[in-house]
Amino acid sequence: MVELRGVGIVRALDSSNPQILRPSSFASFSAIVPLLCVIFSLPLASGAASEIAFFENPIVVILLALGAAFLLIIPVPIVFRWDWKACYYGFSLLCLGGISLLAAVPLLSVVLYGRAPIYALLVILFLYGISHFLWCRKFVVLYRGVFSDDNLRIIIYQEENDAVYYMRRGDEFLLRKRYKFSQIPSDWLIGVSVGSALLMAVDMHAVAGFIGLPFVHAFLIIAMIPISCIGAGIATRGFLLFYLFPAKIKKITGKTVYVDVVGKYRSNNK
Amino acid sequence: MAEWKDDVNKDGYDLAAALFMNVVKAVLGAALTALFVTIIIAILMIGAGAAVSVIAVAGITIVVGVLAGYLIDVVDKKLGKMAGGEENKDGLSGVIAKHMRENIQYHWYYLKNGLWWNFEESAL
Repeated sequence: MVELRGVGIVRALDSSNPQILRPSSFASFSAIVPLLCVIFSLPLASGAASEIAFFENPIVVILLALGAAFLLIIPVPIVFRWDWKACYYGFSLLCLGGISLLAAVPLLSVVLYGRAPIYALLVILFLYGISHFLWCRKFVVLYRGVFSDDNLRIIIYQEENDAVYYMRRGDEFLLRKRYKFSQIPSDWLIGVSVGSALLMAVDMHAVAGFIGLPFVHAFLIIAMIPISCIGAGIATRGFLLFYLFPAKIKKITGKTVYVDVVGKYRSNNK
Repeated sequence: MAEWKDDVNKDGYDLAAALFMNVVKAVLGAALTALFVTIIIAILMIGAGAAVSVIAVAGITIVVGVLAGYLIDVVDKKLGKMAGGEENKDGLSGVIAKHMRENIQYHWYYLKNGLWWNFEESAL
């Protein structure tokens, strides 16, 4: 147990939790993901409208602004020595949401610069909208149920005199053992999606002509559906567990939520 | 390679430069793909505690591999235009081929013109 400024006595999380997951380093490491996604997306944006100058392409301008923001964010956790507060730990999961950029940029390119018929655009947008909504909703329904049930909530959020602790092992127990919930879309969905995108390569010129953009955009729009869902789902989970519920807990108890990665969870059923 | 096959004016230097650049791009693409996929899987498994299947890893790798290939191709073309002028459509391989042609041909003709052979004959 260690004394923290203005907090009182809290668990010695630095000595019990694995150092590799300490937000001061892991959050910086995670911020590389959206930055790499921006770098990967830039040629997609400029390649979709080669007649427009690089810096006059609105998608490129947005990507450059995002890239600059992520570049500035990378050293912040190290400089400010982020500790085990839930909001710092959750940043890593939010960063995974950046993967969806790799789907959003080809989609935007098709909408803005493509020549795809309107029905094809509507089908694609509907597919993306419904798949992401349903996938993220699964996380919301599951965790809302857990948070509203006192017996289940205590497995994830353990209240003590000084602070409230998010118990990762308790969360994993609920996901894997109780709900048997996978955070990754099923294998068949990934296989069908990536397989269909690969099959389109057989007639890539026809596909490129149909959407009016390079083939790689069409490939990504189809192949990225489940992979973008992974990023969106993990980001939703991170938002719920490390921002929304901790804010509610803080409002009710006045206590800050910290992350205990290895501690054993309590259960009312024992 | 496609540009080499399509143009009858291309010579062995173009082929050698295209092969060299293809190897460099393949190595860079593989390294970039491995790096990106490793970071994503590490955060998913260590940070989020998610169980990631082999199919999911393969799917992510294929998508990132295509993206990395596209990125490297675009960068190659841009660098080729910066180094070899706007008329250069072959990327950096066009610039390398030009240098190879100038340097190797110069030395070959230097030898062929007899400067070295004369020295050998005179030495004998």
